[in-house]
Amino acid sequence: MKLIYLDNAATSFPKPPAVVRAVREYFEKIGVNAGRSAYRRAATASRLVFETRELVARLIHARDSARVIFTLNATEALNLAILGLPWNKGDHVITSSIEHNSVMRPLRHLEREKKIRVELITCGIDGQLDPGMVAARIQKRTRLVVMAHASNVIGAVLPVREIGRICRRRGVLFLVDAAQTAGKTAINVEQDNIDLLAFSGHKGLFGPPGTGCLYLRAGLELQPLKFGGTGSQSHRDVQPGFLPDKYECGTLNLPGIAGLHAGVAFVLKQGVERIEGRIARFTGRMLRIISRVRGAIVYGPEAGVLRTGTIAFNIRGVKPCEVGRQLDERHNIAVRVGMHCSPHCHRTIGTYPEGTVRVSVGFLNSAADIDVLGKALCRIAG
Amino acid sequence: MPNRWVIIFESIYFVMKAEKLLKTESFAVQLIPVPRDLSSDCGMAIEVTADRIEPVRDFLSHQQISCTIHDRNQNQNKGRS
Repeated sequence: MKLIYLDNAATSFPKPPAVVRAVREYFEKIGVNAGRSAYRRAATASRLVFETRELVARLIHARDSARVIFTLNATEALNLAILGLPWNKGDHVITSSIEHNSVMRPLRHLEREKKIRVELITCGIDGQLDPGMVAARIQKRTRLVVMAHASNVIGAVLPVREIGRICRRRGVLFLVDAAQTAGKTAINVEQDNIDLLAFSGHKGLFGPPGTGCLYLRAGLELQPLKFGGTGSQSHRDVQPGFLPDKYECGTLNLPGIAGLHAGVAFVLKQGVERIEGRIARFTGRMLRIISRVRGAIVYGPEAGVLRTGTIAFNIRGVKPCEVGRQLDERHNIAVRVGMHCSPHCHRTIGTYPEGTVRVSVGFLNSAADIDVLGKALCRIAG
Repeated sequence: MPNRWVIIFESIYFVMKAEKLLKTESFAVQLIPVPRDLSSDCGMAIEVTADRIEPVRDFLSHQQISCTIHDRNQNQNKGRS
């Protein structure tokens, strides 16, 4: 039985063949470190890193690719952004009630360590957030607004452009967690007034796990998360102050970056709009199919509302972990169940602490995958 | 053989960026190891021939790429671009 993969919100699978080829070719044709040496092979590795940065910058409409920093994942990018800002006791942060723990945990850490104040704006049960609420909560000491572009549980998309406009007008930094949207929804850091954009390379961008990025607007400075060798200013024993070296040290994940290059090239070639359209069609089909299953409760945005391909649901009388287990063991369908690292989102939609089943489609799924899921769910629901 | 001039950049990022932009503009450039007497960096520099150095200097300055340009024959710093 063929695996039906519906856990693309965790990481995309399969990857486009060009990605797998690029990783393989890194080992076969490059294989050496970047940014350190001057032999021709090393120059090839350095060019690969540079070209990948350029592609990512093009995707998010960043003017200066030096301000795209490679990280391990979106979590590391969010940690760099959140922990790296110059916090003072009493500083205020606004966030939403559907954030992932990769936002909440660094904020809770700062609450304890730096005595900052974290305020959550409660989203509707459908995950919607009124940008006016953000404007109303901004105080004199508000330093940062941090929001997911889209929920990793229910697929609700937050009004990033409106919130960005409010933040810029009020002089508050705006950090967007685009882990669920990069490569799947258009993002323009200039037009959307985004100061910091964190995203994974291994989800919508089709790179290998171990890839992520932080974009940092010109003029912003962060404290680095790590310090070490950069290949630049090697006569000095302090970290360079220029980008990207300030935030990138040690050997980079070069096979990962090679794959990310091919992944972003794939996204740019297909076109984000086309990717979004295909995922939206699958999502519509999946919503219709799931809602017909006996006892199904679907959470999140109403049909027709802008959303990602991630759907949370439960089947009355069957625990989510049992649904997940049966989908896996009897039908070879991979989904994720439980809390999805977002207890606040589950509180918002009323599914804490049991959680939900989460299915997430990707560009490389097929309509047939969704139909198989529908049949399997009908069996489980009885 | 024409005189060789060496351009030193702040980081490998700018070496790569300069190389790409210069090649796009059809300048003949070559990546070389950073001469140890010019910089402590473990990385690369760009070498150009003397007859092309002025247009290259203007181009890099226009692109706002910070660098220092050195005449390898006299081995002295010719200042920031």
